[in-house]
Amino acid sequence: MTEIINIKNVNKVYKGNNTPALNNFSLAINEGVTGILGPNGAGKTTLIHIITGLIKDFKGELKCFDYKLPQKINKLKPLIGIVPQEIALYEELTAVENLKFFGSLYKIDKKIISQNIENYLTELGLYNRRNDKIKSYSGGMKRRINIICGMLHEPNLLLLDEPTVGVDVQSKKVILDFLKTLSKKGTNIIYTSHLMEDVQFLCDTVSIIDNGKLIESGKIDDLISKYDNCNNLEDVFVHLTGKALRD
Amino acid sequence: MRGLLNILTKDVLLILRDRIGLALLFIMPISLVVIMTLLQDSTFKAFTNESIEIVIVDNDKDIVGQGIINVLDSSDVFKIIRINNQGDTITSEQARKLVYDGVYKMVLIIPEKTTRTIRRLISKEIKVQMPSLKSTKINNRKYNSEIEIYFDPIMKESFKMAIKSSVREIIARLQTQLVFKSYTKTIKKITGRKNDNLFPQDVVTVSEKPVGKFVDKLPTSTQHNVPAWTVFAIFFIVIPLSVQVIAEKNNGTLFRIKTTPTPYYLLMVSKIIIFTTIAVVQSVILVGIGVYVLPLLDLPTLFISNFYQIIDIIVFTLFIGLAATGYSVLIGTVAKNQHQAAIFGSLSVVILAAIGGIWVPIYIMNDFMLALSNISPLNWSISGYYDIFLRNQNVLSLYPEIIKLTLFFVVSLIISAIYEKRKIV
Repeated sequence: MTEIINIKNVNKVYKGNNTPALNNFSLAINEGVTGILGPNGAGKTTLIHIITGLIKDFKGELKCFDYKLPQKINKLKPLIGIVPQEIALYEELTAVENLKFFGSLYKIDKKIISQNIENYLTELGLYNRRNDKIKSYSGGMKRRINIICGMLHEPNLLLLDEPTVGVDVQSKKVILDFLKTLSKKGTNIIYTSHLMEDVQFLCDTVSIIDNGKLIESGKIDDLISKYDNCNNLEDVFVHLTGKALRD
Repeated sequence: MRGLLNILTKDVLLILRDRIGLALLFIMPISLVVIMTLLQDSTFKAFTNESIEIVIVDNDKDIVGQGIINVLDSSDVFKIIRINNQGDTITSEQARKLVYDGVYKMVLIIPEKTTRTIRRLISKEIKVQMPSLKSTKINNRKYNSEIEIYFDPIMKESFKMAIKSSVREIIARLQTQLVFKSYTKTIKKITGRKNDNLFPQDVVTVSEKPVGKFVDKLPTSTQHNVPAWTVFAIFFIVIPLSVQVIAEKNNGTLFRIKTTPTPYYLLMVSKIIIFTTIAVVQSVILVGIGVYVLPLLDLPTLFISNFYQIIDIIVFTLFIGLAATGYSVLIGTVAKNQHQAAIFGSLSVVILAAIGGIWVPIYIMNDFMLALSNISPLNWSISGYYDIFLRNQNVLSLYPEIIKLTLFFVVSLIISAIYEKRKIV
């Protein structure tokens, strides 16, 4: 498997905060679908912000598709797509207007963007509502548009931060099936979620982080069999991170 | 360029679909201009050189009556009313009723034979002083003529005093002229020498000199309110713009945009272009209201002398728009949520407007407030508009205001950028 991200001894401390968000963090991510798991405040969002170039002030080394960050972030940007946890859409614009706008921010042919909009809207069951304003959409529909926005430019790596939060079972199934198909076509995915069954369904490997450190990484089946009394990924997660509340 | 066009398209769509924001940007200032001009018109007339209507009933129909009318008419302070709506000369009774009904603020009634009475008095005095003249015997009659002035009760006492003093001065001058003429005529009779009969010119004159910026020419209610509420409306973009900035920050769209190859600064450039254009559109609409709509409401017209003045207004408005946009971005960056931005943004603009001479013109402020007004960008803005509307100055001569507005814009953006960077790190 080809390595797509290499993180070595990354440290990140936010101003006014003594506890590091990432503490001597090292991780190698290969092609495929990788789940990043961790309780609240573990450092998942910081990691995503560093990979996407939003945080430039960190120590250590990070390479993504052989581009060193943060120096080569502009070379990397066209290769990655982001699906934030928030519904990052303009409520007053229609689905097509949102998609055209976000698609246009990547410097690629308008025709390709239009074709992708049509294809993805159809695949995710939203084509008939394409000209409706986002504010009239249900939570699940908004989530689906949120995902399409991140992949119109056909990225090599798609970063998804809790993409199925607050959606109904049907929408979640459509989203997960869609992502599975996408990964089979060759798109690399980094997926963060608290929903272990989603991660278990979608991901080949998982990395569990806590307190800014990598505490475990590997194939899901290997991890489940590695720890006693663990029958699924959730058991492994609780076993490694404990039962204490993380508010 | 394509990236900027796409962002511009998105921003235009967002603005066009924000009906409350549009109402705030266009309906509110139009309403404010009309209402405030209507409210303040009479006050402005009392303060400015705007003509005050005065009904004059000239029953004298001679030198004194005509002299009073001529002097008041030539002063530019009064607009003389002598004819009623039916085209008839207003009588004394009608005039009293007009002021009683509040139609006019002042009535001046010059009684019959005023000139004749003065002449007779002078003639009597000459006879007393020059008894050698062949003449009929001196009578003992007392000569008296009373000019009546009626004021609307709402008129200020100081204003009434000023009017009464002016009328007394006019009559005294006319009386002096008549005395001079009579003596000249008498001396001619005695000496038989020709006299050119010229009334000597005033040796001592009194003239008002400007000591401040506004003494030379004060604005009418329209000349104040149109630019004032245009400036206010332009700065009120702080609400839609700062709310938009915060919405993009909080709903993740800004995060998404920052992770794309399109530079982040284009997002700000688009907002600056859009909202500066809105500022220009606001100014054109409000100037149009001043030129075409306010006169229909019997309010003073906003006089535009030539096409170049419109260009001056547009160019200067661009700088006001920049300052307002910079301020809005700053509020949007510093505020934590939309609620905070809307409240702080609107309150700060109202305070800056009050300080800057939007609500109350700065020429009636006390020294402390006058000094304080200099810190408000709304003051720099209205000051520039005054120069265009009142003094016909071109935009190049407004460089002090333009420099201040541009610096305000630049400093606001720099603070926003620093604040934004510190927040991320």
